[in-house]
Amino acid sequence: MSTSALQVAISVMPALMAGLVETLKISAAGIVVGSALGLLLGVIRGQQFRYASPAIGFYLHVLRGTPFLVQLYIAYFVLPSTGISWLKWDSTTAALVALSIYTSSYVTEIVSGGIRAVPAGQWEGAMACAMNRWQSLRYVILPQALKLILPSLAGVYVNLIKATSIVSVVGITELTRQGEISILRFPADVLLIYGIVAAIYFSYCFPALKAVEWLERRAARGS
Amino acid sequence: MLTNNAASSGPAIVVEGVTKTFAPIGGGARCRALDHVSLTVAASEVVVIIGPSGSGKSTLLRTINALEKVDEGRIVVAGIEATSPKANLQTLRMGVGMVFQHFNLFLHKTALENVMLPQIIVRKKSRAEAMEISKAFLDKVGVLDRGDHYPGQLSGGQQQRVAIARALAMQPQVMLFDEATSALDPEMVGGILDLMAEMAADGMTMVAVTHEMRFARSAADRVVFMDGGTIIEQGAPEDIFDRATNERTRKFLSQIH
Amino acid sequence: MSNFESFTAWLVDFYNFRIVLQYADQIAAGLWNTLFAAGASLVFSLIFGTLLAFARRSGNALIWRPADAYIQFIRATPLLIQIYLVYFGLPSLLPFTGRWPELWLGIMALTIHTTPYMAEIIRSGINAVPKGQIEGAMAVAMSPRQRMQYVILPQAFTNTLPALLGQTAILIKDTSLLSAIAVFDLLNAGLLLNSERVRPKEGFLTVAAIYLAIYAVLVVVSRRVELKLGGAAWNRRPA
Repeated sequence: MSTSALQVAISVMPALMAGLVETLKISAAGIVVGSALGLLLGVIRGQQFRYASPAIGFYLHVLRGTPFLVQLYIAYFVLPSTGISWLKWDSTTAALVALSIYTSSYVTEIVSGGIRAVPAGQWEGAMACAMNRWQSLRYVILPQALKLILPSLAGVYVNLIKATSIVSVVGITELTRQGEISILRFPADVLLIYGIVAAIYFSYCFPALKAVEWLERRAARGS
Repeated sequence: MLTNNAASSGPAIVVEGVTKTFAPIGGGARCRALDHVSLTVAASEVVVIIGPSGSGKSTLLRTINALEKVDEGRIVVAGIEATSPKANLQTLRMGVGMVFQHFNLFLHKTALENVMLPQIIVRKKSRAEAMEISKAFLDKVGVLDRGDHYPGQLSGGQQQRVAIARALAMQPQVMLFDEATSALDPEMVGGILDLMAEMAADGMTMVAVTHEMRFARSAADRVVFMDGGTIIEQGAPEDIFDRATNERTRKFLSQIH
Repeated sequence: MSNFESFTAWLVDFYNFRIVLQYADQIAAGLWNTLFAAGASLVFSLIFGTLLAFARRSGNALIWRPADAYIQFIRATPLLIQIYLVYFGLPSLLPFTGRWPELWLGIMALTIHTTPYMAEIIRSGINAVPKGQIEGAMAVAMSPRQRMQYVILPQAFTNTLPALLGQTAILIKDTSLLSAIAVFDLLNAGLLLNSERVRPKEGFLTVAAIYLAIYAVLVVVSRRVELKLGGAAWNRRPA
């Protein structure tokens, strides 16, 4: 029985690896776009703008209050149906949009939290030296905020990898979907195949989580 | 010489009828931090503001370089109207140096870099020029040998000296001191006060909020007593410390001495 | 057509609430399953989470290492894979479970997933109880079990109530993945509407709004709880 398990494992591995590559590709795209959007929104939310900061806060609540799968279906079904032409995208783009927005909601919170954690005196010192808001942000506030932001960003990346498994339900052939397809070939080995899939995710996410802990410990030591 | 003050005609600072109200966050009565305050400071004059906590003295100081906005009134500093909505705050702050109680040095930069950064970004000097200027000012305040230390590695007195150098390097017309020695250990207070006295002697226009009465007596041209958001009494140091006419002034002074 | 009629015509075209009303029964059924699954998983994961927290705190390596391995495995693998492992894997190990309703398997999977997160929250809550509390309890000769039951755990739970509520919000959202194993939850009700009537806005926006309503309730409860905790004198340190 164990040799046949090994044979099954060897047989499905190429497909699973292809799925892993796809997972890495979409998560990379998601983190790039999501981080850019999150950085922009987070910088705005981290300061005291009268209308923009609460508006972004409301937007974040909406994102946090709905399941990612629902957001994915909205990107996949609802947005293309509104009649606006550039929203009529394919499943891969829909998945990327959903993942990017999901990532950006975390990044926004982390960036704004990091900016708020920089002592107010730093803003005052910079402004007293005749720096304007954007100079203060760029040279004084953001460099100090970054030390707090970076460890948490690594944690967001892990969440993103796990969320990519959900886009399997709209047919994207990432790792989870490849697992489902492989099971069609070997229906008796469901547990084995999903076990291998879980092990692949684990081997990727577990070191990343350890890196997060190490980064957080280092950041805490420096203060 | 620590300063470079050309004699200018007209007063350095004009504060007219300035009012500022704070609305507490949780609700409750609005509080008048400043109530129709007027003050004029002549060029090269040294004004020391004293008073109990909550009297509005720090708030008044911070309106001069527009770190606090006023609700009513007019402030003109070195010819620039700070309260005008069209005022260029960066230009204003280039002419006003401020030294804070908690130093507010940029924690992620060395002492030298702290003085250099505004030179490069705001005064648009080249890196080499900025370094030369910064070293000169660090030398004048006596901490040149600590130039490559970070604020966290410096004592309070050293940090405040760096802060003074950073402010002076901007070549301001006016220097503001917001309880510059209140956060320092006693043995370092004297050194900072000596620096401030040197600036005063060199002709810098200064407004200082402080509890150091001996400094006020020796270095100030005028002492202003504030309480409850208004100026109660002002005059030459002897007039305030020895012969105050107002009851509240005398009560405050008796508690201090 | 008058302006009002053309406006309502546009509105119905954009979001036909009449269709939504036709599916009100299914949406209610889906909502009930969602809340039931979340509630059951919440209760179980709190109980098992407390036990797992104790296991994790144990000094005995035979106890805390497996506990930690379980926690790390759940944290480093996607929830969907965990659901599939339970839904497909359990019946292949224990064939009688194959006849169980999907809802039960879903609750099992959600419990297995949420327990470690609850355990970490409770563990940090236990660690955050001031040492002085334990010393005071020891001074009046309370046994370790009594200390835990009457002094430490109550304070640990109140310390971490906001975090526990946050995890509950996450749990509500996690139930949506049960739609992938044919549990008729709220999301599946929306999918049904969309597949039968091809009206994605009515299907998914309605469902999203209901999830948001549940979340809003949790946010309000969480803020009330934080205010009460912030004001309660029992938690104030002596000046």
